[in-house]
Amino acid sequence: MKQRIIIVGAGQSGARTTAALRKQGSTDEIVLIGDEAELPYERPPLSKDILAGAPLSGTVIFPREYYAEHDIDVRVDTRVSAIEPPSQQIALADSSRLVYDHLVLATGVRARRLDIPGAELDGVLTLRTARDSTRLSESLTPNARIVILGGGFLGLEIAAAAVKRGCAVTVVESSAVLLGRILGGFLGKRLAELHRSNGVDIRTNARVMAIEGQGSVSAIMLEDGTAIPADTVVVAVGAVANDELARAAGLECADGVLVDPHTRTSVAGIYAVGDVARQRERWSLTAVRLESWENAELQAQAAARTILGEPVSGDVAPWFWTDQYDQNIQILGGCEPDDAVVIRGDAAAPSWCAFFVRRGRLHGAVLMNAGRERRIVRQIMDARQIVDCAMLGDPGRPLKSLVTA
Amino acid sequence: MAWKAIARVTDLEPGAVKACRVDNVPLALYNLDGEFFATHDICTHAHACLSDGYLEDGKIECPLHQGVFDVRTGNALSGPVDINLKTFPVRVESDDVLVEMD
Repeated sequence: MKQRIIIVGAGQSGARTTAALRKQGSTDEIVLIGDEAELPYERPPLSKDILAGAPLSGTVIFPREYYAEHDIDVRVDTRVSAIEPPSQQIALADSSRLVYDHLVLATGVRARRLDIPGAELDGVLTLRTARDSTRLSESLTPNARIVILGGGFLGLEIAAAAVKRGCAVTVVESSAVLLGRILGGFLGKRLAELHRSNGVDIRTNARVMAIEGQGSVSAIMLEDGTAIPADTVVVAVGAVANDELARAAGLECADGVLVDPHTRTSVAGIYAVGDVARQRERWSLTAVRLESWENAELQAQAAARTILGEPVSGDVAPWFWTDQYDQNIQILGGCEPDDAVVIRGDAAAPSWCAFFVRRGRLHGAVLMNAGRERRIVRQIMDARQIVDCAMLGDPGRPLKSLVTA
Repeated sequence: MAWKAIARVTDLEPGAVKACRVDNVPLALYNLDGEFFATHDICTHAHACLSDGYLEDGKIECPLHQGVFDVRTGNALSGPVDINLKTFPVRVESDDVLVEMD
């Protein structure tokens, strides 16, 4: 019998869930509901190519005809106001209701805001949506003073884009080093050097106390009394899961909807995918909420297969990339402060790899302009094989020769 | 339409991929177990050279974002890629590898 599958949230993971369902042969009724005006699009380019001037159309996942051809009822600009598991219904903002057999939550995340004076001034921006990206792009005019609060991957990508557009860019980071959790700050130090050599003013150990301006922003004020003039302030201090609907419906949540490796939530018939999903176990990591292109893709596949009663594919180490200037950095797996660190190659050279080894196994990797190695690294990680640190660190020895499986 | 010599057969070991440039078009030339194939060298997803990527089982994986293409057909197989890669006819004449350009 034909069932109705509703996907709430029309970002990458939501759209890919509908495509995966059709690809797996589902003939069910599929409804994809999102509150943005655009058809589903991918977000990685919003802080990269789009800020460099590329058109938004390039990030759209499927053209409108795709949804028609595949009989997917896509509803943009539509807000869901409640989920009611006992009656298997959702309520829309216009008070209409829809019954579901399966419900997939793909509601994503939103930018974390700063609770400081002046945070509501004009010219204080965040970056999450296509609209945000367009708005920010308009501010990146030559010599505009752009102050970015937060020196994480998003903040650094914005900094690289803004410098390329001729802006005067300052990055304000409250920690002593950028990306301190990766490689004990080693990667962050390298990236800080890269950005400084491109003219970005990177301020670490800098805590912002207030944003100042009459109507629109004119400066930010640091804890030590320093004022940094600004035409635009970008707040890039992380994201918060959009899990309110799920929490109100009684689903187990913890900054994200808790799911198992099959994307099942704590309530039967309801699944969660993408940035909003916190997976109880993923590879050798626990309770991780992964805001990455790959995770959005993999969980979409897993949800479709689970709904259709198919087995989900194997568990692989998480992966993501960041592009800054002409540098491509890829990170696999995880890292803990007490992991053994093995550097392969010369870390002062343009291309190198860093490996994190835990209990004899490869736990994580940073590939600096070394994407060619990813496949093998991933193979070694996913097989969870025991590795020899001396061999790992020897650039004269092809990584392929370390594969034992 | 013209056939152009772009490499010597001995330039490329089986399982290897190499960047070439013909008529200002960047190409990736592949040797799959002795048979040669050519595709456009730039990934259809972002600006990256596929010749810097990982070649296995007739598939090339982009070094930047893990897009995978079938070398023989140019079909986008997985990863963030949706647009197929342009392929070019290849033939071998004595020691030369020739590619047919539009």
